[in-house]
Amino acid sequence: MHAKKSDPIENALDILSDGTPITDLVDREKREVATRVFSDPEVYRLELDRIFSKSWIVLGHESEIPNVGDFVTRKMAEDPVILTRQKDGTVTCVLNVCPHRGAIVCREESGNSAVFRCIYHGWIFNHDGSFRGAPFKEEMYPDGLDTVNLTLRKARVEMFCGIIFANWDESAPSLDDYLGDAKFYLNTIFGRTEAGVEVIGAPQRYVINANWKTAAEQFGGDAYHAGQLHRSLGALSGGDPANPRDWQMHAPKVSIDNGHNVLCFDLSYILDKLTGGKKGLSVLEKLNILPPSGLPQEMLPEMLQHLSEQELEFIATTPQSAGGMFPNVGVWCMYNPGPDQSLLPFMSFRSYVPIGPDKFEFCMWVLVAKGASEEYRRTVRRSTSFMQGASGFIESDDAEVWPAQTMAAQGHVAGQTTLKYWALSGDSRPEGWPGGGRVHTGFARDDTQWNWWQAYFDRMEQKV
Amino acid sequence: MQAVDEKTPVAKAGKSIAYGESLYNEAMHFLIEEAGLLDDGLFNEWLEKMADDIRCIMPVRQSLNSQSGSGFDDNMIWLDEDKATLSFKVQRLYGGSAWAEDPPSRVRRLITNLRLYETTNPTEYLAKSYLLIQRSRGDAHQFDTFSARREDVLRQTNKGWQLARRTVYVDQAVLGLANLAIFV
Repeated sequence: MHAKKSDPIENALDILSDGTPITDLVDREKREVATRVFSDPEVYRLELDRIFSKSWIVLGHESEIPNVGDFVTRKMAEDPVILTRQKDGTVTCVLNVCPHRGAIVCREESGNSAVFRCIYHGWIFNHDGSFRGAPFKEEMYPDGLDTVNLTLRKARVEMFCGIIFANWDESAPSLDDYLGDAKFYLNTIFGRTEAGVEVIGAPQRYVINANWKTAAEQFGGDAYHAGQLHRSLGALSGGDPANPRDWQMHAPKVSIDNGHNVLCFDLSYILDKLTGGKKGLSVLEKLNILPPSGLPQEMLPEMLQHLSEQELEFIATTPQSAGGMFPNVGVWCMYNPGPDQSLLPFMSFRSYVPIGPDKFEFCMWVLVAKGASEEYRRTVRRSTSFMQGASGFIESDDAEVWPAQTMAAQGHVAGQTTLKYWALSGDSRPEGWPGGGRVHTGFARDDTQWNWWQAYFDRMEQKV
Repeated sequence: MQAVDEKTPVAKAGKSIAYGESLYNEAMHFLIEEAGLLDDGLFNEWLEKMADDIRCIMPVRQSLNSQSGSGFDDNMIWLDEDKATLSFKVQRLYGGSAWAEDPPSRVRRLITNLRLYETTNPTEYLAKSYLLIQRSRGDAHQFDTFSARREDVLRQTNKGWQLARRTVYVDQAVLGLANLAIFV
């Protein structure tokens, strides 16, 4: 970045050790971001504080821990946590670090346990993180133990459509406020029926040598790359890289406050192929021809009963297919033709869990409508893993680009280049659009990704 | 894509066929040839060794305590391939835009520790083996390493030996590779 006049800086932590103010990492007028954010370890440490310890972080889905005592261990950025189903039905999230000498308390990825016992000195904790006991407590601590201060720190837990979010920040807004307009769209994927969705099983977890933001900002709405990076998809979809409509590059996108984004899908693209271009189909007819991905045909009546007319129309015309929840979650639910030309339904969300500035864990959950048949579940599972995740032929190509960006950003000169978000469409909300946020129509440009970066820098500059 | 119930066992191990016996050598030869075709990038030739009803499954694995078992998830998988998906993935590799494998990785598949068993089907044999893959991409000096044990059903046909079924029991709960764009 060229040196520019910055606003007065009050906090010394807002200047990196080479003298660069945080505010110089972004040019909000030109819409450029300093490439060094993909590699700088100081920027990363600030992210752990200003983003990951103050935001609602996705950790899983409640269907993973249905019974009392069920737990899974996850990470909020680099902090290990335990999610446990309590007797009262709520889910707690506690820091999985023993207050005695800092060992990891619960060492299994999942299971069911009445208590959590640290293997080091045998200290025991309840599900809610409160101290329960220690061996030889009276002999070790004859003057007593201040056990109130020996709890495993609790994070706030809230859920949306069963997706479990946790936040360390007691003063952060509610999840409801944080998601804001994103809720309308996400509900049309994860909240279609009364029973909602459930995970197929444990998530896929794998490590990519890339900065977490390379993935997070891409899922925040990069439609531009579809026909290029994922050109091989065209062999199944019949897509021509020279035709933007074949790649949904005219489908609406939505920017939402707090950095959330929605990529929609022009469903007429599939419906026309299925019906031979039939016009004048009602919402009900469209849904009968093509129920939303992840919901089997026989469960359509449940969805029709549960959702509003607006939501049903949205699902039948321009449903959300991809998009992200800030800071580090991608959502993806749509159909794609398979090798035998049948339509393959896939539904997933994934989080990009940072492990330092140059690595992250890709953690992908596959979901399906709760109550779907075993056969349908296996179909969704197979379809999703065929295209997404580690063996997914689509996401395998993404995993080629993100490390390249990260590696390039290590360079001293490369680190001074910028990432460019010059192309904006602006807010062009169509008449009768049912959801909130800023709706971008026409050729899909950088609006949603720029929305993501603005949310990122607002937090890094501690403006929110 | 047909969904198959993978909870039924791959095949029940019958009589063990000893190391060095003629059938054992044929089975090992098949696995070595198969690995060689893949390592050499001869994917179409490799596909011919896959039965038309081939299924390849790799269940997701979690790290659990010893009482909870090996940690393989009954429901969630890394991959679940049949002839159609494998054929597509092979075509993709020749299609000029399989960026995850173009430039191609240099892959070394080491197959060892074969234990061979008869099954209730006289033309099919259960082959349990170990797989170690070293994969080098671009000019990175670090290798991707992947190790697993595999349980295969090898079938004698008039076209020679074919692979009818493969289950890959991976050693990692969290994979150390950025993708599985190579066949395992």
